[in-house]
Amino acid sequence: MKIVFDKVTKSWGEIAALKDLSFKIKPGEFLFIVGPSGSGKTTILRLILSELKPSEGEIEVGDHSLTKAKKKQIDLNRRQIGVIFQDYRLIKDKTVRENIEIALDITGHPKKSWPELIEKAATRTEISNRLNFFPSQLSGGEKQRASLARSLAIAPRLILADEPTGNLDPKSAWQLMALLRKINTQDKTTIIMTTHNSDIVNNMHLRVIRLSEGKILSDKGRGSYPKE
Amino acid sequence: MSTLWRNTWHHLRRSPFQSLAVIIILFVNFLAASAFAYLSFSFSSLLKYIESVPEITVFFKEGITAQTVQSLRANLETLPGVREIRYISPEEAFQRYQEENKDNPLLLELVTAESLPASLEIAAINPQELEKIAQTISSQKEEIDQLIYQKDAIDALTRWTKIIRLGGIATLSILSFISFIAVFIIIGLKIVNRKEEIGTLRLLGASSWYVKQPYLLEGAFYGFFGSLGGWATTSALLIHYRDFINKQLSSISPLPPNPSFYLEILAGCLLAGVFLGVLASFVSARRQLKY
Repeated sequence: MKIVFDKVTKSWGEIAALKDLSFKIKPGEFLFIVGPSGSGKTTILRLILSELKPSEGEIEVGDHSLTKAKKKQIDLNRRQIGVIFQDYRLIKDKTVRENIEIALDITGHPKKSWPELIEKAATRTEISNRLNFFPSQLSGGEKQRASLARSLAIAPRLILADEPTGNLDPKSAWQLMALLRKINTQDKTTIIMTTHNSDIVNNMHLRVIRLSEGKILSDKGRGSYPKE
Repeated sequence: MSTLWRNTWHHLRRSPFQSLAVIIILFVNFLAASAFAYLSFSFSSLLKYIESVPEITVFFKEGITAQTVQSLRANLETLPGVREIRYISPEEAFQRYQEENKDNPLLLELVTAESLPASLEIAAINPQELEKIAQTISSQKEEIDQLIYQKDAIDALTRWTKIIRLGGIATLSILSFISFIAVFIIIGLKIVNRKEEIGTLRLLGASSWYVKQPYLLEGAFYGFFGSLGGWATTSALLIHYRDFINKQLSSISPLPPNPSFYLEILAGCLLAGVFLGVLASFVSARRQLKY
């Protein structure tokens, strides 16, 4: 899924979170967005998800302009996007299986296809043995893999990962990164990931957009990101 | 079980006491609603009964000849508004008395056919004609011993029926408003408690309708069970005491024994309950989920 930001500014009154931002992401690309807190990383993801509207400029996701998108189109766009967060955002009183079922229900997959899709996503994320567990019964790494399984089950064209390794120990973080890379190469799923983890960015050798105060400092194909 | 039912069930299970509180409030509302419905129906039945029986009964003095009675009857028949006139001889009156008091031998012993006067039962086309007919009869003072005129009873019953209906509407309006507010607040609280979950659903692409559906179903659930409970309690009490009530009112049966009457009241209660629950949930969800 291609993404185009064309001179995008997002501001709240006098405070600008993003200033005149332009970049393109090709379908199937894996991209890191890095930068200090408040640099606008999450704002970019929220704009792609249409949680926010740009103050100025144009955003294109897939073949649709988000700037003039109506509610229904926004919902349809979101159903093609998998999201994983630092805090997992799993529904607490539902099992992992039920969390995945909700995503499948929202995206309109026929109910009879659910068991197969759940099994497939759970196997890929190595969470099969935890499908009937509640989030509170899982470790941080398992929660994040459950969250990823929920995203994968709907076969997304784009995955947005907002600091997904933020709460994980190094081993779990690397397991997750390996999994994301596999999904990206095997399914050609576009992945945009924000992170503070310079080790991951430097070792993955992928495109990195570096932000500071809402502006792009650098956009490198195989960037190295200095340790903070 | 579909995801919608399962989600609704999760909501109910997560805060069972809040759900129970709303159901109790709706239960009280529909307990009163079904009680007023039954009361209103009973008064209407009583009114219909009284309106349908002869409205004026004229008892003649002793020694009045059949010719005099027939002459008065002929006079009355010419009056506009008279529907039917029936002559009741002392023998016929005694037969009626025996039938009505067959379980009371003491009363049967006290009265004979000779002690009961002859009478005319006069039915009017409508209750408004009663007064004119009564005035005409009253002018025949020499022949008439007593005139029983049911206008006052009808007026009183009509007034009470109106009072009960108006009182019922006012009471039910207040109770319905309280129920509405209770459902509105509880659903609102539940939405606020699940804001994070709702945010996640929205990010997964859930439509506004998808998010709201379980809350509307929850409101319907409250309305359904609250109204069912209220109706069931009132009806059970009424069925239990129906024979006693009907016995007190002798030949008048204000409470019919057929089940369709009770089922009609049930259908009305359920419809009103579900509508109230869904409406309050809808308004609450609309207020809390602004997108």
